[in-house]
Amino acid sequence: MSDRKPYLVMKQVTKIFRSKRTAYHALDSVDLEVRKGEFVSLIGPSGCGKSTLLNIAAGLISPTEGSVWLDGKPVTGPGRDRGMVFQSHALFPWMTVLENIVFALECGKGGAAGRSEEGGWKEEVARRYLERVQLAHAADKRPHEISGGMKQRVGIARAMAVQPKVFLLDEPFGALDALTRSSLQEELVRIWEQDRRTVLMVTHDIEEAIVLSDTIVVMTSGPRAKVREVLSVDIPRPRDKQALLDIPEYRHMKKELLGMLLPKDSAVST
Amino acid sequence: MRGDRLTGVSGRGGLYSAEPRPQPSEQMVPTAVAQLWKSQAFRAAALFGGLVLALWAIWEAAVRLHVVSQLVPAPSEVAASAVELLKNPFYDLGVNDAGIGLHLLSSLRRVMVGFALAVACAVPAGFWIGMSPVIAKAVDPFVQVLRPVSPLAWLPIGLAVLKDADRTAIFVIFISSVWPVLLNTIFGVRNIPSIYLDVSRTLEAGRWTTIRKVIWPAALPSILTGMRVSMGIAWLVIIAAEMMIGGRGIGYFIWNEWNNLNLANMFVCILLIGSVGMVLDRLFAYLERRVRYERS
Repeated sequence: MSDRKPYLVMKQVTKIFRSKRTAYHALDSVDLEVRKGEFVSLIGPSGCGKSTLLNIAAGLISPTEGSVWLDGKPVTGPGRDRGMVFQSHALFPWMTVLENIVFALECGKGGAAGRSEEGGWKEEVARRYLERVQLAHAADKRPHEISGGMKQRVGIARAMAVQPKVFLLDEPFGALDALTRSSLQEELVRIWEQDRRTVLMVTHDIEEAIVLSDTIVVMTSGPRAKVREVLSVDIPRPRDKQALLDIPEYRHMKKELLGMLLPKDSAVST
Repeated sequence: MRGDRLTGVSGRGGLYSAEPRPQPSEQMVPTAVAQLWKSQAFRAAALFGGLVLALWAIWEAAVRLHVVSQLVPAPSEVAASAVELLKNPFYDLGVNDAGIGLHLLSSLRRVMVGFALAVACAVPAGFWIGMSPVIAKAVDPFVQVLRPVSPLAWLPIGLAVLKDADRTAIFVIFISSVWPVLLNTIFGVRNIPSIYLDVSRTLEAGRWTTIRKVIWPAALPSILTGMRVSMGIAWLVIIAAEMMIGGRGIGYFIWNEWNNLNLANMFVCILLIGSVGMVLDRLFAYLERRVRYERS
C-alpha cells in the first residue's frame, strides 16, 4: 500500500535544550523513516520527547544535531509541505471557523490576504474542507462557541486545506473525552482513507496507535530518548474498534506495547 | 407564595375560613415593592438616592449654620449656578467671556489631538519594541527614566520650544498619554501565546500578514486597556495644564472662578469634569469589551 522509498526521514536527530545553567539532553540520535502514504504513530512514555521530535519535523524546533528530509529535500524551517495539527487545536479565537481556514489558504505564495476576487474563491475552498470534516454548519461560529471535538476537526480541516505532503499530528485527541476521541479517530481514518496522505502522529494512547497506524514507533523514556522498537501493524483495514477486541493479534500487540510503556514492576493485564 | 392568594382561588372557603380573604387592591402595592426590593440594582439606586439627599442636607445645614467658611456655597446655590451656566453654554463674547460648553470643548479637543498623536506614535513603536528583544533592551532605559516624570514638568519646555499655549497643552497631553499605550502595546505584543505564532510559521504566513492577522488582533485588547488608562490620565492632566497656560479650557475656567471667588461655579465645573471623564472611560471600556476575544 505504500512505496518502499522513505518519504519523511529523520537522521541521527539529537536535541539538547540549553539554558543558562542547565542542559537537558532530550533526544539522542533518533532515526525515523516514514514512507509515502504510510500512517506512523510515535508512542512513548510521557516526557520522552516525542512531541519535540514532531516539532523538529515541523521545523518549529531545530535539532542540535542531525537532519530532517522530506521528499528528498532537507527541512530547514516550518513550511506548508507539512500540515500541523496541534493538541490544543490552536485556532485563532478572533476569527470564525471559516476565517481560520481561509487564513491558512491566504498564507500561501501569491495568496496576498485581502484581495476580494480571490477571497471569494478561497472561501469556497475553505467551505469544502469544512464539509469534509462535517462542520459546514459551524462555519460562522467562533472557536469558543464549539466543542473541543469540533475545534480539533477544524484544526484537521485547516491542515488539510494547505494540501501538505505529510500531516504531523501532535496528540490531536489528547485533550478530548473518550467517546469524542473514538468518533474523531474514526473520522480521521475515514478522511485518511480517501487519499492516503502520509501521517506522523504523536500519541500516548496504545489503542489509538493500533487502530490508526500502519507502523508504530516506540520510544524509550527520556532523557536521551531513542527509538526503542518499530512495530508494523498487520491488522487489515477497515478496523472496527469493537471487532478488534476479538482479534488475537490486537490483544497480543496491546500487551506487547503495554509491556514496553509501563514501568517494569507494575502488573500487566489486557 | 403570596402571589397564589391573589388569584383568589384558594380563598373559596370564604365564610368558614378563619383567615379573612385578602383584598387584592391592598396587597398589590407592597408585593410589587417587595419584588423590586429583591433586585440589587433597585436597592443600590435607592441607597444612592438616600446618600445624595443626606449629603445635600448635611452640606446645606453646614452652610446655613455657618459651620464652614462663608465662601462655601450651599448646594442649592450650586444647583442655581449649574442652571445658569448650562442654560447657554456656548455663548462667545470674546477672549475672556465664553460659555462653559466652549471651555469644555476646547479641553476635549486638546485631549483628543494629544491622545490621538500619542496613540499614533505609541502603537507602532510598541509593535517594534515588543517584537524585538534587542530593541526592547535598548529602549528600556529611556522608558524607565521618562515614564515617572510628571507630564507637567514638560510644560515649560513645551512653552519654550513650541512658543504657543495651545500646542504646549497638546504636547503635555501627548506626553501623559504615550506611556500607558506604549507599555500596554509592548505587553500585548510580547505576551501572544507562542502557539499562535507557531501556527503562523507552519502556514508560512508572511511577516506583514502575521502582524495584521495574528499579532494585531491578539494584542488589541491590551492596547485598548492602555488607551483607556491614557485617556484617564490625559483628562486629569489637561485641567492642571490649562490652569497654567490660561486662555480657553475648563481648567482655566476653574482657575478664573478662583480669581472671581465664585465657588459655586467651581463646584459645577468639578461635577462636569467628572461626568465627562466618566463618559470617556465608559466609551473605552465598551471598546475594550468589543475587541476582547474568548481564549478557548
